[in-house]
Amino acid sequence: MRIAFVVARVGEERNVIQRLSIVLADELRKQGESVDIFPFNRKKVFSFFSYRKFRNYDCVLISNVGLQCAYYSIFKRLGLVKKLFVAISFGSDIRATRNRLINLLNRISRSAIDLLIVVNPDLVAIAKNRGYKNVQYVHSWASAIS
Amino acid sequence: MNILFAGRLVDFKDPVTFVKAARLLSQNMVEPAYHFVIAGDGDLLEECRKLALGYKNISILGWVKPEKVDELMIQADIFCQLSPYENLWASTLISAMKHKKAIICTAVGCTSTYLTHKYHAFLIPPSNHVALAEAIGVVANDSEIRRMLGENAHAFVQENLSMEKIANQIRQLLLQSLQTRYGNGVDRHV
Repeated sequence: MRIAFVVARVGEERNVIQRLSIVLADELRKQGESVDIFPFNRKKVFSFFSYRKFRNYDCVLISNVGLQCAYYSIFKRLGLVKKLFVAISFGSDIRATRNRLINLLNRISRSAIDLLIVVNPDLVAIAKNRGYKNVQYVHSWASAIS
Repeated sequence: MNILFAGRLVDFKDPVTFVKAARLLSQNMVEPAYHFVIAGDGDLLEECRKLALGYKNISILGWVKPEKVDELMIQADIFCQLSPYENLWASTLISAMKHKKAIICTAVGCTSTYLTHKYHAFLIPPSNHVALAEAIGVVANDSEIRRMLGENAHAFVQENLSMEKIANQIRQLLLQSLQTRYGNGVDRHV
């Protein structure tokens, strides 16, 4: 399986999610999958054709339902990306139901995401309330970074 | 006795309850028996600093590097995870479990579904600094309970939270989704 793994804030020491994403990519590689990391930053928003790189992959895996997820979801919704879209939610991206930005990013991403993987058990209900149809819970692998 | 709180200093993690319990346990003590350490950054940093003012045995470090968190974790005797909403699976909680620390955490969300009171952790009600202070007293004064909680929490991590196992689960989910989407024999690369 060839996976394009979109990860934001790569290299930022304070960001736990990018560290978790990188160790997940390493482990998936160990298990025989081909995983390429696509670092995402705000400047990427202006690279209008960056979605084309997904052509050679079987699926697009996105770490966190943040700006990066909403951005590529637009291309998916426009039919420009046809690959399987899977997002991993770590909580902060879907929990705050009163945060307008989070609500907007979720609204854009929701219909593009084929599968939402959540790493906290309470997030299953939260995600379903937000309208995600296919939600799966897995335990957090944070033990790998501590 | 080192008691550690590590995490973002925001409402979701409730560091204020930790500082209030620390104050309660430090009052009227010439030589405090406990050293409280808070590592993390966030909106509540200043409030925590104000509450801890004048207490020499409460150290508020602000944000520290992940390696320093590991070091603090090793030095700690008790780790507190006090979210009023959900503790699972905070990376600091997992780290404390992995380091065989005695954990005191709030019984909120799905916490008690996975962690059993007095077996994996000492569970207390949320936003209750008196209950936290009492729990610290009980756990700090009983080395056997600390050892037992640490061992059981560590075993839980070994059994359920291994990277290899979870990555394989994610891999299976991706493969199943691909199969559902494209079926067998359909060239998904087109």
